[in-house]
Amino acid sequence: MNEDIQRQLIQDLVIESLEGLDAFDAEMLALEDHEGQPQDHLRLAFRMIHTVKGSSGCLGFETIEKVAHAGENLLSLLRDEVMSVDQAVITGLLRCSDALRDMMHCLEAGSSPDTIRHADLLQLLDGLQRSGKSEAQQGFGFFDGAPGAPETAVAPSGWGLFGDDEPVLVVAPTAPSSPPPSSPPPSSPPPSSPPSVEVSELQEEDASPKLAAVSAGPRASESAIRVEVAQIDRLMNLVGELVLARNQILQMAGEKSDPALNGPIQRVNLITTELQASVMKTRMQTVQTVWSKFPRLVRDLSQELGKKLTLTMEGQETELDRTVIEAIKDPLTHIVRNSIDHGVEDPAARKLAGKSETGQLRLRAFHEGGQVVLEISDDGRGIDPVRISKKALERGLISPEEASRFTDREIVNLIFHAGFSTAEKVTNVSGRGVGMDVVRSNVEKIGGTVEVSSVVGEGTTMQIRIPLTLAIIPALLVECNGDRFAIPQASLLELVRLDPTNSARSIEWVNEAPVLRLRGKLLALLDLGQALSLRQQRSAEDAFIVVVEAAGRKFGLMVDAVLDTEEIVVKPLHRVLKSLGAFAGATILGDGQVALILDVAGMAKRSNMNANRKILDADALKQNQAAALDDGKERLRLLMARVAENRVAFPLEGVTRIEEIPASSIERSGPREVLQYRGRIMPLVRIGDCLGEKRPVVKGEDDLLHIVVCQLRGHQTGLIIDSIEDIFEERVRVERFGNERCLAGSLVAGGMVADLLDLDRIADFAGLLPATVGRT
Amino acid sequence: MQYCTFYLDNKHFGIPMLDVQEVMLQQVLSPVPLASSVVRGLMNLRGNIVLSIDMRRRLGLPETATEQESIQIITQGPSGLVGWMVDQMGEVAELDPALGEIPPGTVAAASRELMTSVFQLETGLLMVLDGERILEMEQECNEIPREIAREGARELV
Repeated sequence: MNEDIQRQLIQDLVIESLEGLDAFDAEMLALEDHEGQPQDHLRLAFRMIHTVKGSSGCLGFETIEKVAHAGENLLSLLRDEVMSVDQAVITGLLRCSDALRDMMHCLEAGSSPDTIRHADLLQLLDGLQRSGKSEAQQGFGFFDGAPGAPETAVAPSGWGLFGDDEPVLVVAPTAPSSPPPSSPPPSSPPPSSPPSVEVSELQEEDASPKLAAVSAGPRASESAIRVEVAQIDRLMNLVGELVLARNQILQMAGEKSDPALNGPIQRVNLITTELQASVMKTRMQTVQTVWSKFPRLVRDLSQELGKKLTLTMEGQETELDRTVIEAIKDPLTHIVRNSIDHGVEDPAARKLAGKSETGQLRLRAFHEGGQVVLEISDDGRGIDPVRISKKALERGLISPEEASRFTDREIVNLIFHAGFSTAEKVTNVSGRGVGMDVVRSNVEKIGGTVEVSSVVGEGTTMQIRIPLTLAIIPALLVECNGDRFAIPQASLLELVRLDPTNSARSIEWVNEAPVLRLRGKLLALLDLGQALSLRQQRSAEDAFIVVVEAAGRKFGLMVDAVLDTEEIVVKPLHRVLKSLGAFAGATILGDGQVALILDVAGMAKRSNMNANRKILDADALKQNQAAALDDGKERLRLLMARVAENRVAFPLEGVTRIEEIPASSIERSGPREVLQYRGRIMPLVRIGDCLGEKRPVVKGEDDLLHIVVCQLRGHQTGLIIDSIEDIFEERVRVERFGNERCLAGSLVAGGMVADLLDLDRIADFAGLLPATVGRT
Repeated sequence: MQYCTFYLDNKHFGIPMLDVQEVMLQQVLSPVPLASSVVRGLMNLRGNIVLSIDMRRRLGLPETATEQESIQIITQGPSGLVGWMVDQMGEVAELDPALGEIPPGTVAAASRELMTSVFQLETGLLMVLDGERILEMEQECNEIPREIAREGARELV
């Protein structure tokens, strides 16, 4: 039993100390930057390290106590203004906190903290003290006998006891010039001339619960409690289940429509939604959790490299799911290191370039379009596209033709390509074997994207876009051999329907490997049924192809049917199944059944999609070369549709979805036609009206209307067309002859003339106001 | 000590009661492609995903001739919930572990390594499976290739 208590106490010690040490670092950095009152920082830092010392002393970890004590001594000299704060001292104190942190990690891992040697550090701290003044040395003797009063070892209330001991150390008798101690024993009368405010404040805090005493902020609220992550996960689980049950009830109620039941059911509905939102919220952490490490990193690195840097952080309060936070920690750190190492020049070079000697590193976090954007920008030398393109050519990552065709932005983004390591730049700071391709794959693993933009001489900006949460993701449900599988929307590019009667839309073979010609490029295909050993061979030729991309590999998955898109709750897979490498998790569908979530990257790996890729790329390359001779054209992806006699083209990047709705579901709101769509009201615009088509095609109540869903001014808007033709990716020249109000011009795609729609002008035409910001 | 007993292929088995979380009637199983044949599929237990293991296949017993409604004994394994699929539940038996005998060496290897002891009951023999081993078993379930599991079954037939 004693061992259990001991273990629990050690665990508490580790958690609290690590938090305290992080706060300690923050105080030190603030002190160095001359933010606020130095005394405040010193006092807080002192209290944190004192707590670490006290509690580890209680548990008998003498080495920790000794190191903490040395740091505390130095701090007390600073606090009492016996010596002044300079960079060397701060570095020493930060090293002290590092050492303590290392020992805490040792404790956490169950090994003895004594294995870490700190002779150097102790010597350093000692030296710093000596270089200040020697008085405080005498404090040592008092403390050595202090550790481990038995009653404090079992009760966390022991914190106060050590507070009592502290003044003995600080009121070093031979330092008459020094200001009085800040923390006298609560019971004894205050020594000679204390600033009374400080005393009462400290007494108050000594009496407060330990959580308040050690947490980061000086006024940490007592209303917070520590909850185990597993507990929250369990809650989350139950809420997910409640949502399923709620959905079933709603469905049943809809069928029966019993008015007496409706009220309570609506209430259950609302409460469940709210409950889900609040539980989700408890899992959220602010970006600050990751960023708090960066001031220290920036300071240490820039000193090491002899650079000058200011770090600004905006949007620290942006919240993310803790799993996401965990996953972006390493990529973010890597990017920040990269920026300091390669991005920002040394002061001399900056001066030469006419910039201020101090470089700027800016971290920004904000919400955009249901995602969180993390931006890391510096005002350094930027990435030179010429160099990158040369390197990429050397390594055969791109062809000469591509090199001339790619925009600078595309070229710069090649740094995320696997196998692109600018070895000549490797230093011990960022050349640690983790390339930018790892950054990308880590970000993609959580369904995010990363992009870089750079202006030579002006700086580089990295943008990471990540989903708010990993627990619930949008996914496409497909069917294969009677089983349902979920494909995360993040890896989904498009859906293609095979048509055996049309040779342009059917499977062809390259040495046993099925491929599809898709907009002039060959796409490798993988039959999901075969890949999962569900069947030997595909029978039917009319299949759906789900075009997916993972880790830079693009391929088509053949499935029997595409069912629906759904927000799914991701559940971890049993370890036995993880090693299969084909599934990323499992989820529970609306009917209570379990469906597996496909791991697209894993599937590609299992099926040697990688090996195929080179051959296919070579083929595609030839086609590209043939296509890319003429100039003055831009490459566009277009969705072609028909409206009466007109062929119209939508720019594909503006299109969210394509839907078929019965004409009867259109309702009116004022002068506008609207549709209830995914729980919101969606305005509808008839493209025929935009084109000035006089004879609108009147359809019967049960006829299906084709709708292209686009984002117009932040509104989901449905554009009504007659039929969808195809998708093209072509190099086209857009030409304008007249001033048609909704068109951007005319072009030739697929051998026929089409009108390119201008979505912004359509928004004008429809009289849409910009959507209020912040709504989703 | 209490044992939760069940039947497989008309043989009487038991596992320590403390290892059992609950017993469920057969649920809808979603098969897991590529996994070993011992893995019958996944099922939903109040929002938790349970890995279902076919005990007949695991113990190398012949497949059931008729597709009957089977029963899942749910245990909390080291890496998640596991459901052990059995033919039928038996009584809860209160037995003195000291009375258990070592399983004879002639028992097929696949099942012998999982057995801790055999009790002589009035109604027949009760083969007690090792609770700890049964929880560890899930790790091996992936390692038994389909063919071997099938062959093992054939030998016993």
